Order: sequence, then C-alpha cells, then structure tokens
Amino acid sequence: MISCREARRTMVDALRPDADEATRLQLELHLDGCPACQKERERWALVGALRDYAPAPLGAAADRRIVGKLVASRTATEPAPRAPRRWAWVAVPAVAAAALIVTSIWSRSTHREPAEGARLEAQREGRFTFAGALVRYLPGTALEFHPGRRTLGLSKGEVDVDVTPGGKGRFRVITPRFIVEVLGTRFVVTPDGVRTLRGLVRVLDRKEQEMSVLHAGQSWSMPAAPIIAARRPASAPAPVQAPPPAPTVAPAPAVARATTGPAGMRPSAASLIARAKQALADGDTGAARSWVNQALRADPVVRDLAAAHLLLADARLVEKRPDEAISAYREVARRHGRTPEGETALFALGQLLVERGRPAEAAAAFHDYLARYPMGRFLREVRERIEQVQPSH
Amino acid sequence: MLLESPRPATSARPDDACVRGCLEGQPDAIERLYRSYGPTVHGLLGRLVGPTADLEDLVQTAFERALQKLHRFRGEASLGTWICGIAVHVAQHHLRAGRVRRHVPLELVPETGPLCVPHADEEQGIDNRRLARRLHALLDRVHPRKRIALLLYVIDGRSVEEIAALMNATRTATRSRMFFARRELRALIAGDPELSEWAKGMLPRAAGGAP
Repeated sequence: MISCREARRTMVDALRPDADEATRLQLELHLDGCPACQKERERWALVGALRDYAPAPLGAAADRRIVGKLVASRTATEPAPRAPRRWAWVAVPAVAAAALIVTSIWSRSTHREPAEGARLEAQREGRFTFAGALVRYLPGTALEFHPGRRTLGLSKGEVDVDVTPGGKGRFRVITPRFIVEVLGTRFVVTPDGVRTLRGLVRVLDRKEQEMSVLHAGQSWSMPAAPIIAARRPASAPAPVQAPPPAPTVAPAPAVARATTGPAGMRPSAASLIARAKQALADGDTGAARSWVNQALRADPVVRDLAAAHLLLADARLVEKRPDEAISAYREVARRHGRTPEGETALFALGQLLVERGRPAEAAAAFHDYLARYPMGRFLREVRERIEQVQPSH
Repeated sequence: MLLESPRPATSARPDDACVRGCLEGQPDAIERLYRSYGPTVHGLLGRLVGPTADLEDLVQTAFERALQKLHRFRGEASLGTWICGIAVHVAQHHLRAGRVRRHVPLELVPETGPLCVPHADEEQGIDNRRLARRLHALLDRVHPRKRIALLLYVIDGRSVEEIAALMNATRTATRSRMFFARRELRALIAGDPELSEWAKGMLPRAAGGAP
C-alpha cells in the first residue's frame, strides 16, 4: 500500500482526466484505511469538480459581434512600423511619466470602487461614483454592486444614474422585474419604472428581451401584473390585448408613431427615426446615422426633424466625441427650441459641459433652460446642477 | 468540459490559406479562424478565469492579439496550440489586473451599512456554477501564474511540457508553480468550512469515515 505522502501526491494526478486506473486503485486502497487522507481527498474532489463547469456558450449574437469587431480592427489598422532604436531613450521617461499618470488615475478611481457583490442599504440620501457613473440614491435604497459587469442591482428605493460615455461595456441597472441598459446617459430608476433625462435607455425584461427604448424625456413604468414575455419591438405601439397589461411609455412621441406602413409603402420618417434610436441603443452609430439620413430624406415633419438632429448629436456622444456632441446639442437647442427635443438638447448640453469641466458655460446653458422652459421636464435636475456649478448662487 | 482541446481539432483546423487570408485582412478568413478556435478559446478562458461577465471581452482580446501577432506564427506548433498560448496570456493578464483591483481599499458604503458577500444563500443545493465561482474566488488568492499552471494540469489535463510551452516557462518553473499552487489552494480550501461541507456531499463514501 502506498504511503500517505505518496497518496497525497497521487490525489492531484488522479484528478486529471487521463489518470490511469492503477493510480486510482492504489489511491482508493489507501483511502479505505486512512481517514486523514479521505478528508484531503474530499477537498481535492472539489477542485476536480471544476471540470464539470463549462462556461455558458457565447451565443450567435456574441459570435457575430466578436467577428465584426475582429474584422473591423483588422481592416482598420495596419501593423505599426517598428520604431527606430535611436528613439528608445525618449521612451524611458515617457513610459515612466505614463506609468505615474496611470497609477495616480488608478489609485484615485479605484479607491471608490466597491467589491464585486458588495451591498448597500441606504439609510439616508447619498451619492457615489461607480463604474464610470455618478449614482445618487434616496433613503431606503438597496443596491448590489457588480463592477466587473458595470451592473447595479436595485431591489428597492430609487437611483439617479449619470453614466459618463466611453466606459467599457454597457452600464446596467437590474431590478427584480426589468433591466435598464445604457451606453452613456442619465436616468432615474425605481423598481417600478425608468425616466430618461439624457441620451437613450433600453429597457429589457429579466430574460433580456427588449421591452422599450426611451429617449430623453420619456418615462416607462412597469405595471403590477407580470411582465409580458414576448419580444416587442421598441418602435411598435403597446399591444392591444388587455391581460397582461403592457408597460407604459409616456410621452411616446416619435416612438409611438414609429410603425412602418403597409407593405410596399415607403417607411415614414418617424419609423426610420425609431429604427435609428434602436440602432443607437445597440451602440451601432453607423446604422443609426444611416437610418437618420433616410429619415431626413423622407419629408420629416418639424418634430421628426428635431428628433433626427438630436439623434445625430447623441450619436456623437456614443462615439466618444463629446466636443462635437456639445456643438451638435447647442445647434439642436437653437434650431428646435420649440420642440421637446430642443429642450432635451439644451439640458444635455448643460450636463455635458459640466462633465467636460466647463462650469461657466454649463451654468449659462442651465440658466438659458430656466428662462426658456420655466415649467420644463428637467426643472428639478437643472436647479440641482446650477447649485453644483454655482454653489453661491 | 475541457477536453476538446485544440489538439484533436484537426478536421476544423484552418489551413495555411486561412492564415494567409487573416494576414491579408480577409473577413471570411478571420471568421473561419474564429469559428474554428473560438469555442476552444472560450472554454479554456472560462476554465482559467472562472465565471465572469468579461468572458466575451477576453475571447475577443485573445483573437485580436492572435491576429496582431499572426505574422509571427511559424507553424512550429499547431495553430490551435499557438492561439491557446495567447489565450493563456490573456487570462493571466486579466487575473493579474483583478488581483490588483481586489487589493484596493474600499471607501464606499460604510456610511450606511455593512458590506456582505452575496450569493452565499441565494440558491439551495450544490450547483456547478456556484461551486466554480466559490473555488475561483479562492483561486483568486493564488498568484495567476501558479493558478493557471495548476488548472491547466488538473482540469485541462495538459502535460508539464505543454504547460511550460504555453506559459513560456521552463519545466522546473512550471512544476514549482504547480507545487505552490497546490499547497496554497489546499490551505485555502481547508480554511473554508462551507466548502468542506460541499466536499462531503461530493464524496459520500469518504464522508462516512474510515471503515
């Protein structure tokens, strides 16, 4: 019979898929008479059980996404030429400086990052930065943090999330009944609904089926009854069947009118804009632009024109071109000031200026907002922002 | 499960034309490469880093790096083995970054309530995924190089020579890493009472004590 020392060495080898029967038999023989080694074997059996864990397949959509990115990266970038060695001395201080900057940024940013799975039961109002988003919460809010997935779990209370565009992956808030997913935007979530203040938000059910796409100014609420399971395009109107009640979206200007006409008819500007919103919510700015351009050629009414221009501004934000987005929002606010899109654009402009560290311009934009929309949809937020950028005001 | 490693995947192995196509940036060649080795890389990364939402990103990163370095592929090993080597480096890099993150002090939250580790009582029974998550949480405390060497040996069933080649290390260094990983992991599991309970459920014969 093998010794305990030999048995313990063999235990790990016995876990291997190609372990031979003789090794296993010798081990079993020893284990029958050695309780201490049995305990040890139990522990290693756990590790062996890792073989039974297979990660969930990525799925066809993920495969398509990866292939698309690989093709895009391969065709867009040529291999970088090798730098001449005589410049190597320049690289040393440059690398050191970069390392210093990265370290300082890292230490600053990660100090606030909660651990995976950490929970928060808020007794009073507060705020924090999480995964590239500024999150404000009300008393009684219960949150769970998943920084690796940029996800917040919300079981009760209310959070106001301001997501900075450009983070890795999508920011999500998961409630017991639905999921809110964004690229870069600001929105308010409760377990019963969502209100979008800026940008675009996608609402999914817990099976990740899309239920709605919300533009700035729109809100969506979950009825008390169970959610509908069938996939409903964001652009389609709410289903007519009574039970179960559909989630409500209000106001739903372009989205509600976004149905395509009968077969053979040219799609309306509103339906094309709805598709553009959908594409933008998916992060596909190229497709969004294409739909917007088609909408602009489809004789849009004033409201659709404003929505189209706002989407183009949003697209710049999603593409991480904030300065261009600022100009675009400014132009939408100037040109379409009488439409809800113009109001949204002005608010978004102020927000973005705050994020870009331009408080004076942001304050001017917010004061402009108050003057033009004294009963506006973002009144509360604008006042808060003015307090932030002009505390003495 | 693991053992559809790239080695036996000869039928689906992209040929030289595929490699040439990838080097020229042909989309169909890139897709063929991904379709041939994507599942292998995905499985390997999943086993090395454990359940994570970053898996898709990691697979993508592995293939991006493979495409960037494809001009260096000399055909000395099979293409699958070569890509797996890159995937191992991607996993190592990811785990190292995670290790740094985990050591960051936490400043958020204490104002309102204690932090607690979730998922401990979320589900009843032993579930592979949950066990994998738990074990990988322990493995997070083992150095990535040691962890990967041990998992490639025990779970992937690779030989010491193969692991050494995949990790760009000598055989002695690989054996040493496996030894220390085993020792550290053993201590970690022994110090986790919940895992000990799970272990009893997994080996009922042993749990009954010596005959």
